[in-house]
Amino acid sequence: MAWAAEDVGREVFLGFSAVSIGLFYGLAALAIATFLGGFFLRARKYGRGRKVGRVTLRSILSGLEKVATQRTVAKGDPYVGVAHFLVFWGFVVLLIGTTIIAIDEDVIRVILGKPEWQFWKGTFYVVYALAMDLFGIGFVVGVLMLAFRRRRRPARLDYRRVDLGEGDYDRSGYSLDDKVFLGLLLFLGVSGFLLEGFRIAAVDFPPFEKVSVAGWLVGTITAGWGPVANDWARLATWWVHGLAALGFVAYIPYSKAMHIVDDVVALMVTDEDSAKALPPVADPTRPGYVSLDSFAWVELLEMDACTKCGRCHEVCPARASGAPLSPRDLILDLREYADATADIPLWYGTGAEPAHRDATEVAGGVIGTDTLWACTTCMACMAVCPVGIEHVPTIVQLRRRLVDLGDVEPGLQKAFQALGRGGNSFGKSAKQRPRWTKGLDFEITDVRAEPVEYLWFVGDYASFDPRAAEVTQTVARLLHDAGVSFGIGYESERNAGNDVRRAGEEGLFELLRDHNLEWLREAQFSRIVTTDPHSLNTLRHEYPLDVEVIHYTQLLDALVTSGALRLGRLEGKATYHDPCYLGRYVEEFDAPRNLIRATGLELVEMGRCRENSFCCGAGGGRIWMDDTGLEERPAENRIREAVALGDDVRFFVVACPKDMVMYSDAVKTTGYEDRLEVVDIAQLLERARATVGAAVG
Amino acid sequence: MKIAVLLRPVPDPVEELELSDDGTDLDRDFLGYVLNEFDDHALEEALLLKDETGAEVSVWALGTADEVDQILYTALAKGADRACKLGDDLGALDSRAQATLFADALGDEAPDLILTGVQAADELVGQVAVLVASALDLPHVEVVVGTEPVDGGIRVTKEFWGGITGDYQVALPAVLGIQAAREAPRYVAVSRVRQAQQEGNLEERDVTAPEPAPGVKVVEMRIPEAGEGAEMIEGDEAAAADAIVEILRRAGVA
Repeated sequence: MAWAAEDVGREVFLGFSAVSIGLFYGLAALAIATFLGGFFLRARKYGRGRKVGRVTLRSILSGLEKVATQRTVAKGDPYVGVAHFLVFWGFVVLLIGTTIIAIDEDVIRVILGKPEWQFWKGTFYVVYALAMDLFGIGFVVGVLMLAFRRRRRPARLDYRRVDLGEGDYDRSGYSLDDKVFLGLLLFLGVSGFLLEGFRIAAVDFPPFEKVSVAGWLVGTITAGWGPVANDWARLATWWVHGLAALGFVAYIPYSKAMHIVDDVVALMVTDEDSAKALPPVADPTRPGYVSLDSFAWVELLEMDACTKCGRCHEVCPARASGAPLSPRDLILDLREYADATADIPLWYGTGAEPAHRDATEVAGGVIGTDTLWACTTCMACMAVCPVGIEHVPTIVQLRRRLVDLGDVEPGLQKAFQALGRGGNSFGKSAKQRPRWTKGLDFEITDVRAEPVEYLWFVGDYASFDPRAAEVTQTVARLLHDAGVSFGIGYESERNAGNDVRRAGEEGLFELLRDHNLEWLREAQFSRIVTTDPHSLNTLRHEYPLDVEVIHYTQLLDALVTSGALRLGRLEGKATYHDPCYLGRYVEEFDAPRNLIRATGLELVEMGRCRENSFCCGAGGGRIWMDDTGLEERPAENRIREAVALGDDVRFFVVACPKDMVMYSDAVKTTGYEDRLEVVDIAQLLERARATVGAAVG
Repeated sequence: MKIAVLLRPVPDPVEELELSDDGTDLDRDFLGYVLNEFDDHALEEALLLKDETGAEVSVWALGTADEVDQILYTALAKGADRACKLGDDLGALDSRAQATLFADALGDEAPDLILTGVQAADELVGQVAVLVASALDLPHVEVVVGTEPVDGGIRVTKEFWGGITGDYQVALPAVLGIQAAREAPRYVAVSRVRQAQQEGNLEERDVTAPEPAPGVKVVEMRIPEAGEGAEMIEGDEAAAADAIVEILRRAGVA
């Protein structure tokens, strides 16, 4: 195809009087000013936040990659992934298309006065028109897909609050905003194609316009009206489409549409590791978050990035168990508070709840005390969030404030006091920590006296809880039998402080950490191995140690692979529960699975596994708090999930002392004690070792 | 209103307690000390009164253990206005000696209210509050489970046996032995205690331990002996009653 460049193209203001053109530019200026005004208010709000350095070339590229591929949106929800991909790229291409016209018409022709430089014609125009139509069709299809999904009312888009009764709050503005936003996008897409069709019909179907596939199709339908009627329809639609587009621009910073801007930036500045190594206390004289200016600017921006997609709401174990916490609502409440405090006008009227507007404190005021204590810090919310919101560190910062005010849940207070005295939450003397070693028929090396290869950081539950201590003895026997050079710190070890820190008691965490560092620095070892995934996280991510810290399943996996531990075979099926702090926090998913398979058991996965694993409910200090008020404890929910796998799945395999405690209880309270055996991986290995002789013989 | 709270360190029962060689005391060489739980309640009640009336709260402790500084700084971090440590390395003191030293120190201070725990884990009888009141010639109420400031004094709730309580209106100054505060003792963040330590606002006064006065003497202390365990009686009420009668008969008491 080759057309003379002069003949191929179109006139932007075909048939417009100078007054009309002037009116359009006047309205455009007004729309852009409204947009910039709202944008300025948002930027000013972020400016009130605490300064943190998050922007690097790497973070920008990583953010752009996620935006371009839309993979964080598609993760776990391919339907939405495809729909949003179409809408996103459609929007981007249409935006580029409009910008090209603005450059060609406004900049080159009007401002520079160089019509000879105009390029929006000829072959370029043909390619342009084809791209605009194809991406425009995708855009409309994507919007329709999303609208169709919304009509089916998926559970995760239910905006009902978990902490307030019906009628105690009003979220109709949120639903209205969703509908207006989606409706505007659909209207812009459809009216654009109508406009194109009327224009093509009005100018009598120039052949090169065949590439405008959608417009051409519309034109063939309306061709029967005749060119004059089509031209009138074109003019009318031009104004309707144009005004809608300008209205949309003005509407962006006051609505959900702001996520178009905020999410791109949010994905560039988010820190995926901020829950693994929590941020330090920003102001030691006033720990935790007090008011708007306590928040980091990235947190304020990430709040605005929330699209209420409800993924965090759906996966949250606290929400699922009937606790008054929904990560979505927490972020929305903070955003409403921030917007009200920073005087951001929102056209749709979902401002702060009246109670929040007058709150003098964020922690315990805007966000209720019970809500803050409900979090298990399992990080499921952050793992599913498509826009990189960092719920967990924000919750910990608010907890720090509660702790500083002395507003501490009673069970937690007891644990803190016990930890301050004996370095463990059991209220036991530090001297009793190595008592579990008495059940062994060999002596474990004292790392304070002798060098070892592996320093075994045992952990609180593994040392003091009777059920977990049995597993600990099993681990000791396996390491001993495999000839591993290992030792423990005996009564010098203290709780590593992972959960103390996540419960907001930074000062106590520092005490425990410094005590541990003191004896760790005197001991001679090459690596640390720990039974407790929680200790694993803080030792690896938060302690200033320059040695490798691994989980016992990783060490056992290596020992089985190398042949140092020989296993027989077990029969049957097992399912495995990924501990939050081994899975999402340390990203070890395979070592435990390798071990289960190595015993000969068939591994059957639960629906929620690996990075989508469901929390047992013990993390973040929850294990010390009262959970009698919950409708269904997370551990019970999890046991029911495992039972639903079928009668033949006999073993519920765990790799965390706290899981052993939580699930041993939960199989009893759910009445599945006879159906499902809660067993630690180490115990499975020991059983498989007992069959070695039988297998060989 | 000026409130003085007397705080006493007691051996931490979390540690394994051992007897001294002569068998008349605990082996105190390796003991850890913590604040007496009842005194913690006395402090909480004082801080609640401070919240309500703006009273000035001072805390007082005898230098009978290394942990005393920590105990006083924790009280400051919780909201006490002044902390005073009396003496150093005093060693273990009996109730009478403790009361004498407290009363001597508080005489000039003339607080309106003196609060302390109704008893302490390491004393034979709950006497410190009584003896301080006696030495200063002040009215006192023991086993107090709540206070309420009223015009011209304070209204206190005293706990009797069998769930009975009595309300008293007490003229000030007075001494109260606190059984339990109205609310559980508050938590104070470690960072706040550390901050109080750094500020170091600890008053110290020299005192000398008085000569042991004649009184009750410990002749022998013993670790409680473990019994042989409980026997669970099965069956309904009638069967259980029969079984109990049989046990009593065998034991020769019925």
